[in-house]
Amino acid sequence: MASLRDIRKRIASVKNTQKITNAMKMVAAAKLRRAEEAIKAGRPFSDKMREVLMSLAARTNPGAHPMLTVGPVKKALLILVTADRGLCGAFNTSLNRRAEAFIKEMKAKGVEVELLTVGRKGNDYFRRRSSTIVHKFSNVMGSVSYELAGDICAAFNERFIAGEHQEVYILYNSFRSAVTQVLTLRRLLPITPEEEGWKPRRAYLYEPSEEELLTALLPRYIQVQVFTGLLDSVASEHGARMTAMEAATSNAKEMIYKLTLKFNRLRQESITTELMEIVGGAEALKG
Amino acid sequence: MAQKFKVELVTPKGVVLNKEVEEVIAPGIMGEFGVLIGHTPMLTFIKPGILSYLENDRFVKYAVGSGFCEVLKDAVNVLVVEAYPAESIDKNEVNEELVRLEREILEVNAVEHPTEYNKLSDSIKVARAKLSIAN
Repeated sequence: MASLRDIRKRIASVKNTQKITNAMKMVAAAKLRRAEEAIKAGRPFSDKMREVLMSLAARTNPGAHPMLTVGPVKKALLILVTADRGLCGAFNTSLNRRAEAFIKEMKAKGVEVELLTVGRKGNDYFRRRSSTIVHKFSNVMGSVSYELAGDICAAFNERFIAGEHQEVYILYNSFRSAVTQVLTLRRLLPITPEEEGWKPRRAYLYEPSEEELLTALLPRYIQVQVFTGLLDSVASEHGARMTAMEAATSNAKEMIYKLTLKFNRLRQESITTELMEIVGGAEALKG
Repeated sequence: MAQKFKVELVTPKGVVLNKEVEEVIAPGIMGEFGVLIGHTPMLTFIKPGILSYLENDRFVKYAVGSGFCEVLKDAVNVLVVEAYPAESIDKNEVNEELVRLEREILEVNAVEHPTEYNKLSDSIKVARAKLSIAN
Protein backbone atom coordinates (compact mmCIF):
# COMPACT_ATOMS: atom_id res chain seq x y z
CA MET A 1 0.00 0.00 0.00
CA ALA A 2 1.41 3.35 -1.05
CA SER A 3 1.91 5.78 1.76
CA LEU A 4 0.65 9.33 1.71
CA ARG A 5 4.11 10.64 1.06
CA ASP A 6 4.57 8.32 -1.93
CA ILE A 7 1.38 9.55 -3.53
CA ARG A 8 2.29 13.17 -2.94
CA LYS A 9 5.60 12.54 -4.70
CA ARG A 10 3.86 10.84 -7.61
CA ILE A 11 1.50 13.78 -8.04
CA ALA A 12 4.38 16.23 -8.07
CA SER A 13 6.23 14.22 -10.69
CA VAL A 14 3.21 13.85 -12.96
CA LYS A 15 2.62 17.59 -12.63
CA ASN A 16 6.14 18.25 -13.82
CA THR A 17 5.70 15.94 -16.78
CA GLN A 18 2.48 17.69 -17.63
CA LYS A 19 4.24 21.02 -17.64
CA ILE A 20 6.79 19.68 -20.09
CA THR A 21 4.27 18.10 -22.44
CA ASN A 22 2.18 21.22 -22.37
CA ALA A 23 5.18 23.38 -23.25
CA MET A 24 6.12 21.00 -26.07
CA LYS A 25 2.60 21.22 -27.39
CA MET A 26 2.75 25.00 -27.52
CA VAL A 27 6.12 24.96 -29.24
CA ALA A 28 4.85 22.46 -31.79
CA ALA A 29 1.79 24.59 -32.42
CA ALA A 30 3.92 27.66 -33.08
CA LYS A 31 6.25 25.74 -35.37
CA LEU A 32 3.30 24.20 -37.15
CA ARG A 33 1.96 27.61 -37.98
CA ARG A 34 5.29 28.61 -39.46
CA ALA A 35 5.55 25.36 -41.41
CA GLU A 36 2.08 25.84 -42.82
CA GLU A 37 3.01 29.30 -43.98
CA ALA A 38 6.09 27.91 -45.70
CA ILE A 39 3.95 25.40 -47.55
CA LYS A 40 1.59 28.11 -48.67
CA ALA A 41 4.45 30.34 -49.77
CA GLY A 42 6.06 27.56 -51.76
CA ARG A 43 2.95 26.50 -53.59
CA PRO A 44 2.90 29.10 -56.40
CA PHE A 45 6.47 28.20 -57.31
CA SER A 46 5.83 24.47 -57.56
CA ASP A 47 2.55 24.96 -59.41
CA LYS A 48 4.12 27.22 -62.01
CA MET A 49 7.08 24.90 -62.38
CA ARG A 50 4.77 21.97 -62.96
CA GLU A 51 2.75 23.88 -65.52
CA VAL A 52 5.75 24.84 -67.58
CA LEU A 53 7.29 21.40 -67.44
CA MET A 54 4.04 19.77 -68.41
CA SER A 55 3.89 21.51 -71.70
CA LEU A 56 7.59 21.04 -72.34
CA ALA A 57 7.98 17.35 -71.49
CA ALA A 58 4.82 16.29 -73.26
CA ARG A 59 6.15 17.65 -76.53
CA THR A 60 9.42 15.78 -76.48
CA ASN A 61 9.78 12.05 -76.98
CA PRO A 62 10.56 9.85 -73.94
CA GLY A 63 14.04 8.98 -75.17
CA ALA A 64 15.10 12.62 -75.11
CA HIS A 65 16.43 12.50 -71.57
CA PRO A 66 17.45 9.69 -69.19
CA MET A 67 15.08 11.07 -66.57
CA LEU A 68 12.16 10.36 -68.89
CA THR A 69 13.25 6.90 -69.97
CA VAL A 70 11.45 3.94 -68.45
CA GLY A 71 13.45 0.73 -68.53
CA PRO A 72 13.77 -2.58 -66.72
CA VAL A 73 14.35 -2.11 -63.01
CA LYS A 74 16.94 -3.99 -60.98
CA LYS A 75 17.71 -1.53 -58.25
CA ALA A 76 15.59 1.23 -56.85
CA LEU A 77 16.25 4.02 -54.40
CA LEU A 78 13.85 5.03 -51.68
CA ILE A 79 14.11 8.47 -50.17
CA LEU A 80 12.72 8.16 -46.68
CA VAL A 81 11.78 11.45 -45.07
CA THR A 82 11.36 11.15 -41.29
CA ALA A 83 11.75 13.46 -38.33
CA ASP A 84 14.96 14.09 -36.44
CA ARG A 85 13.29 13.78 -33.08
CA GLY A 86 10.77 11.50 -31.47
CA LEU A 87 7.82 12.22 -29.20
CA CYS A 88 5.50 12.74 -32.08
CA GLY A 89 3.18 9.78 -31.85
CA ALA A 90 3.24 7.20 -34.60
CA PHE A 91 4.82 9.64 -37.05
CA ASN A 92 8.16 7.92 -37.49
CA THR A 93 7.00 4.42 -36.75
CA SER A 94 4.41 4.39 -39.49
CA LEU A 95 6.96 5.76 -41.98
CA ASN A 96 9.51 3.12 -41.08
CA ARG A 97 6.96 0.36 -41.21
CA ARG A 98 5.74 1.48 -44.62
CA ALA A 99 9.31 1.66 -45.89
CA GLU A 100 9.98 -1.85 -44.70
CA ALA A 101 6.82 -3.13 -46.36
CA PHE A 102 7.83 -1.38 -49.56
CA ILE A 103 11.27 -2.98 -49.52
CA LYS A 104 9.66 -6.39 -49.10
CA GLU A 105 7.18 -5.70 -51.88
CA MET A 106 9.93 -4.72 -54.28
CA LYS A 107 12.04 -7.69 -53.28
CA ALA A 108 9.18 -9.97 -54.26
CA LYS A 109 9.35 -8.38 -57.68
CA GLY A 110 13.08 -8.97 -57.82
CA VAL A 111 14.07 -5.37 -57.21
CA GLU A 112 16.65 -4.46 -54.66
CA VAL A 113 15.92 -1.28 -52.73
CA GLU A 114 18.54 1.01 -51.31
CA LEU A 115 17.80 3.88 -48.99
CA LEU A 116 18.52 7.54 -48.74
CA THR A 117 17.39 8.81 -45.38
CA VAL A 118 16.44 12.36 -44.55
CA GLY A 119 15.95 12.89 -40.84
CA ARG A 120 17.66 11.00 -38.04
CA LYS A 121 14.87 8.59 -37.08
CA GLY A 122 14.74 6.75 -40.38
CA ASN A 123 18.47 6.34 -40.35
CA ASP A 124 18.46 5.04 -36.78
CA TYR A 125 15.85 2.49 -37.66
CA PHE A 126 17.42 1.11 -40.81
CA ARG A 127 21.02 1.31 -39.71
CA ARG A 128 20.66 -1.96 -37.82
CA ARG A 129 18.75 -3.69 -40.56
CA SER A 130 19.92 -5.34 -43.74
CA SER A 131 19.11 -2.48 -46.13
CA THR A 132 21.87 -0.38 -47.58
CA ILE A 133 21.78 3.31 -46.82
CA VAL A 134 23.58 5.05 -49.64
CA HIS A 135 23.39 8.52 -48.16
CA LYS A 136 21.98 10.14 -45.07
CA PHE A 137 20.93 13.64 -44.12
CA SER A 138 20.59 13.95 -40.36
CA ASN A 139 19.53 16.84 -38.16
CA VAL A 140 18.33 18.87 -41.10
CA MET A 141 14.59 19.04 -40.51
CA GLY A 142 14.94 22.18 -38.40
CA SER A 143 16.10 24.20 -41.38
CA VAL A 144 14.47 22.92 -44.52
CA SER A 145 15.30 25.02 -47.54
CA TYR A 146 15.29 24.87 -51.30
CA GLU A 147 19.06 24.44 -51.18
CA LEU A 148 18.72 21.39 -48.92
CA ALA A 149 16.36 19.86 -51.47
CA GLY A 150 19.03 20.60 -54.06
CA ASP A 151 21.67 18.77 -52.05
CA ILE A 152 19.42 15.76 -51.65
CA CYS A 153 18.68 15.73 -55.36
CA ALA A 154 22.37 15.96 -56.21
CA ALA A 155 22.92 12.87 -54.07
CA PHE A 156 20.56 10.71 -56.08
CA ASN A 157 20.50 12.33 -59.53
CA GLU A 158 24.07 11.35 -60.24
CA ARG A 159 23.46 7.73 -59.36
CA PHE A 160 20.33 7.67 -61.42
CA ILE A 161 21.95 9.16 -64.50
CA ALA A 162 24.86 6.75 -64.08
CA GLY A 163 22.34 3.92 -64.17
CA GLU A 164 23.00 2.70 -60.66
CA HIS A 165 19.34 3.01 -59.77
CA GLN A 166 16.60 2.68 -62.34
CA GLU A 167 13.87 4.12 -60.17
CA VAL A 168 13.67 6.65 -57.38
CA TYR A 169 10.81 6.79 -54.90
CA ILE A 170 10.08 9.19 -52.09
CA LEU A 171 8.17 8.33 -48.91
CA TYR A 172 6.97 11.06 -46.59
CA ASN A 173 4.00 12.19 -44.54
CA SER A 174 2.03 14.71 -46.50
CA PHE A 175 0.19 17.35 -44.59
CA ARG A 176 -3.58 17.49 -44.58
CA SER A 177 -4.36 19.15 -41.25
CA ALA A 178 -2.88 19.33 -37.77
CA VAL A 179 -4.44 16.01 -36.87
CA THR A 180 -4.22 14.11 -40.14
CA GLN A 181 -1.10 13.20 -42.02
CA VAL A 182 -1.21 10.95 -45.03
CA LEU A 183 1.60 8.55 -45.81
CA THR A 184 2.64 9.30 -49.35
CA LEU A 185 4.78 7.13 -51.56
CA ARG A 186 5.56 8.51 -54.99
CA ARG A 187 7.84 7.70 -57.83
CA LEU A 188 10.13 10.62 -58.59
CA LEU A 189 12.18 9.12 -61.36
CA PRO A 190 11.82 8.35 -64.16
CA ILE A 191 9.19 10.94 -64.95
CA THR A 192 6.34 9.76 -67.10
CA PRO A 193 4.42 12.71 -68.48
CA GLU A 194 1.27 10.69 -69.21
CA GLU A 195 0.95 9.46 -65.65
CA GLU A 196 1.24 12.93 -64.22
CA GLY A 197 -1.44 14.16 -66.55
CA TRP A 198 0.79 16.36 -68.61
CA LYS A 199 -0.43 17.72 -71.85
CA PRO A 200 0.97 20.11 -74.38
CA ARG A 201 -0.31 23.56 -73.82
CA ARG A 202 1.43 26.36 -75.59
CA ALA A 203 3.71 26.84 -78.48
CA TYR A 204 6.82 28.64 -77.36
CA LEU A 205 9.90 30.08 -78.80
CA TYR A 206 12.70 28.23 -77.06
CA GLU A 207 15.91 29.87 -76.20
CA PRO A 208 18.24 27.91 -76.14
CA SER A 209 16.92 24.71 -77.73
CA GLU A 210 14.08 22.62 -76.40
CA GLU A 211 16.42 19.77 -75.40
CA GLU A 212 18.75 22.02 -73.49
CA LEU A 213 15.86 23.57 -71.62
CA LEU A 214 14.51 20.16 -70.76
CA THR A 215 17.87 18.92 -69.54
CA ALA A 216 18.15 21.83 -67.18
CA LEU A 217 14.53 21.95 -66.12
CA LEU A 218 13.96 18.30 -65.22
CA PRO A 219 16.41 18.27 -62.28
CA ARG A 220 14.82 21.47 -61.04
CA TYR A 221 11.40 19.96 -61.29
CA ILE A 222 12.57 17.03 -59.18
CA GLN A 223 14.11 19.47 -56.73
CA VAL A 224 10.78 21.23 -56.34
CA GLN A 225 9.08 17.90 -55.75
CA VAL A 226 11.56 17.00 -53.04
CA PHE A 227 11.26 20.47 -51.55
CA THR A 228 7.47 20.30 -51.25
CA GLY A 229 7.84 16.81 -49.79
CA LEU A 230 10.19 18.14 -47.13
CA LEU A 231 7.92 21.07 -46.29
CA ASP A 232 4.97 18.73 -45.97
CA SER A 233 6.93 16.40 -43.76
CA VAL A 234 7.98 19.20 -41.43
CA ALA A 235 4.43 20.47 -41.04
CA SER A 236 3.17 16.93 -40.49
CA GLU A 237 5.82 16.32 -37.86
CA HIS A 238 4.80 19.37 -35.87
CA GLY A 239 1.15 18.50 -36.29
CA ALA A 240 1.74 14.96 -35.07
CA ARG A 241 3.81 16.19 -32.14
CA MET A 242 1.17 18.71 -31.19
CA THR A 243 -1.53 16.04 -31.15
CA ALA A 244 0.64 13.58 -29.25
CA MET A 245 1.57 16.18 -26.64
CA GLU A 246 -2.01 17.29 -26.30
CA ALA A 247 -3.01 13.70 -25.55
CA ALA A 248 -0.13 13.34 -23.10
CA THR A 249 -1.14 16.52 -21.30
CA SER A 250 -4.74 15.40 -20.91
CA ASN A 251 -3.60 11.95 -19.78
CA ALA A 252 -1.44 13.59 -17.15
CA LYS A 253 -4.39 15.67 -16.05
CA GLU A 254 -6.51 12.58 -15.63
CA MET A 255 -3.77 10.84 -13.74
CA ILE A 256 -3.39 13.77 -11.36
CA TYR A 257 -7.12 13.75 -10.77
CA LYS A 258 -7.13 10.06 -9.89
CA LEU A 259 -4.08 10.34 -7.70
CA THR A 260 -5.52 13.30 -5.85
CA LEU A 261 -8.69 11.35 -5.22
CA LYS A 262 -6.68 8.45 -3.88
CA PHE A 263 -4.56 10.79 -1.80
CA ASN A 264 -7.59 12.44 -0.21
CA ARG A 265 -9.25 9.15 0.52
CA LEU A 266 -6.13 7.82 2.14
CA ARG A 267 -5.73 10.96 4.20
CA GLN A 268 -9.34 10.77 5.33
CA GLU A 269 -8.83 7.16 6.25
CA SER A 270 -5.80 7.91 8.37
CA ILE A 271 -7.61 10.76 10.13
CA THR A 272 -10.55 8.51 10.85
CA THR A 273 -8.28 5.84 12.26
CA GLU A 274 -6.49 8.36 14.43
CA LEU A 275 -9.79 9.71 15.76
CA MET A 276 -10.98 6.23 16.53
CA GLU A 277 -7.80 5.58 18.43
CA ILE A 278 -8.15 8.79 20.43
CA VAL A 279 -11.79 8.07 21.22
CA GLY A 280 -10.89 4.50 22.14
CA GLY A 281 -8.06 5.73 24.39
CA ALA A 282 -10.34 8.25 26.14
CA GLU A 283 -12.98 5.59 26.69
CA ALA A 284 -10.37 3.31 28.19
CA LEU A 285 -9.14 6.06 30.54
CA LYS A 286 -12.68 6.81 31.72
CA GLY A 287 -12.92 3.08 32.53
CA MET B 1 0.85 55.36 -72.09
CA ALA B 2 1.91 51.88 -72.97
CA GLN B 3 -0.42 48.98 -72.41
CA LYS B 4 0.20 46.98 -69.29
CA PHE B 5 0.64 43.26 -68.70
CA LYS B 6 1.03 41.06 -65.68
CA VAL B 7 4.41 40.04 -64.34
CA GLU B 8 4.91 37.52 -61.59
CA LEU B 9 8.18 36.90 -59.82
CA VAL B 10 8.08 33.69 -57.80
CA THR B 11 10.63 32.01 -55.54
CA PRO B 12 10.30 28.85 -53.43
CA LYS B 13 9.79 31.15 -50.45
CA GLY B 14 6.82 32.88 -51.99
CA VAL B 15 5.56 35.36 -54.55
CA VAL B 16 7.87 38.36 -54.54
CA LEU B 17 6.13 40.44 -57.15
CA ASN B 18 2.77 40.31 -58.84
CA LYS B 19 1.97 43.46 -60.75
CA GLU B 20 0.69 45.09 -63.89
CA VAL B 21 3.65 46.71 -65.61
CA GLU B 22 4.59 48.30 -68.92
CA GLU B 23 7.90 46.64 -69.58
CA VAL B 24 10.15 43.98 -68.10
CA ILE B 25 13.87 43.62 -68.62
CA ALA B 26 15.30 40.27 -67.60
CA PRO B 27 18.80 38.77 -67.60
CA GLY B 28 18.35 35.85 -70.01
CA ILE B 29 20.97 33.23 -70.55
CA MET B 30 21.42 34.38 -74.16
CA GLY B 31 21.63 37.99 -73.09
CA GLU B 32 19.41 40.55 -71.52
CA PHE B 33 15.99 40.88 -73.06
CA GLY B 34 13.11 43.25 -72.77
CA VAL B 35 9.47 42.29 -72.93
CA LEU B 36 6.58 44.52 -73.94
CA ILE B 37 2.99 43.47 -74.32
CA GLY B 38 2.34 41.15 -77.26
CA HIS B 39 5.73 39.47 -77.11
CA THR B 40 6.00 36.06 -78.80
CA PRO B 41 5.51 33.30 -76.23
CA MET B 42 8.96 32.25 -75.15
CA LEU B 43 10.70 30.08 -72.60
CA THR B 44 14.22 30.85 -71.54
CA PHE B 45 16.63 30.68 -68.63
CA ILE B 46 17.44 33.45 -66.28
CA LYS B 47 20.97 33.87 -65.04
CA PRO B 48 21.80 35.62 -61.79
CA GLY B 49 21.54 39.36 -62.31
CA ILE B 50 19.15 42.26 -62.28
CA LEU B 51 15.55 42.07 -63.31
CA SER B 52 13.67 45.31 -63.66
CA TYR B 53 10.25 46.48 -64.64
CA LEU B 54 8.97 49.81 -65.85
CA GLU B 55 6.20 51.46 -63.97
CA ASN B 56 5.25 55.11 -64.26
CA ASP B 57 8.46 55.90 -66.18
CA ARG B 58 10.62 54.48 -63.43
CA PHE B 59 12.54 51.25 -63.43
CA VAL B 60 12.14 49.15 -60.30
CA LYS B 61 14.97 46.68 -59.83
CA TYR B 62 15.34 43.26 -58.28
CA ALA B 63 18.43 41.15 -57.74
CA VAL B 64 17.57 37.63 -58.84
CA GLY B 65 19.21 34.22 -58.75
CA SER B 66 19.12 31.65 -61.53
CA GLY B 67 15.86 30.24 -62.80
CA PHE B 68 13.71 30.51 -65.86
CA CYS B 69 11.20 32.78 -67.42
CA GLU B 70 8.04 32.08 -69.32
CA VAL B 71 6.78 34.82 -71.57
CA LEU B 72 3.18 34.64 -72.66
CA LYS B 73 1.11 37.02 -74.73
CA ASP B 74 -0.22 38.94 -71.78
CA ALA B 75 1.89 37.76 -68.85
CA VAL B 76 5.42 37.06 -67.78
CA ASN B 77 6.19 34.38 -65.20
CA VAL B 78 9.64 34.43 -63.69
CA LEU B 79 10.69 31.52 -61.50
CA VAL B 80 14.00 31.99 -59.71
CA VAL B 81 15.63 30.49 -56.65
CA GLU B 82 15.93 33.85 -54.94
CA ALA B 83 14.88 37.44 -55.51
CA TYR B 84 15.47 40.63 -53.51
CA PRO B 85 13.92 44.06 -53.96
CA ALA B 86 16.35 46.96 -53.66
CA GLU B 87 14.90 48.20 -50.38
CA SER B 88 15.47 44.87 -48.63
CA ILE B 89 19.21 44.92 -49.22
CA ASP B 90 21.69 45.78 -46.51
CA LYS B 91 24.87 46.88 -48.22
CA ASN B 92 27.23 46.06 -45.37
CA GLU B 93 25.80 42.61 -45.00
CA VAL B 94 26.15 41.87 -48.70
CA ASN B 95 29.71 43.19 -48.72
CA GLU B 96 30.65 40.82 -45.93
CA GLU B 97 28.94 37.95 -47.69
CA LEU B 98 30.73 38.76 -50.92
CA VAL B 99 34.12 38.70 -49.22
CA ARG B 100 33.31 35.35 -47.64
CA LEU B 101 32.07 33.86 -50.92
CA GLU B 102 35.07 35.07 -52.86
CA ARG B 103 37.36 33.44 -50.34
CA GLU B 104 35.39 30.21 -50.47
CA ILE B 105 35.41 29.97 -54.22
CA LEU B 106 39.21 30.08 -54.29
CA GLU B 107 39.28 26.82 -52.38
CA VAL B 108 36.98 24.97 -54.75
CA ASN B 109 38.36 23.28 -57.80
CA ALA B 110 36.07 24.07 -60.74
CA VAL B 111 36.95 20.85 -62.56
CA GLU B 112 36.62 18.47 -59.65
CA HIS B 113 33.50 19.93 -58.06
CA PRO B 114 31.67 21.73 -60.84
CA THR B 115 28.29 21.85 -59.04
CA GLU B 116 29.75 23.40 -55.93
CA TYR B 117 31.77 25.85 -57.97
CA ASN B 118 28.75 26.89 -60.01
CA LYS B 119 26.69 27.32 -56.89
CA LEU B 120 29.27 29.64 -55.36
CA SER B 121 29.77 31.61 -58.53
CA ASP B 122 26.00 32.05 -58.82
CA SER B 123 25.85 33.31 -55.24
CA ILE B 124 28.64 35.77 -56.02
CA LYS B 125 26.77 37.07 -59.04
CA VAL B 126 23.62 37.52 -56.98
CA ALA B 127 25.60 39.37 -54.31
CA ARG B 128 27.10 41.68 -56.94
CA ALA B 129 23.69 42.32 -58.43
CA LYS B 130 22.41 43.14 -54.96
CA LEU B 131 25.22 45.62 -54.43
CA SER B 132 24.67 47.36 -57.72
CA ILE B 133 20.99 48.01 -57.08
CA ALA B 134 21.22 48.85 -53.39
CA ASN B 135 20.71 52.53 -52.64
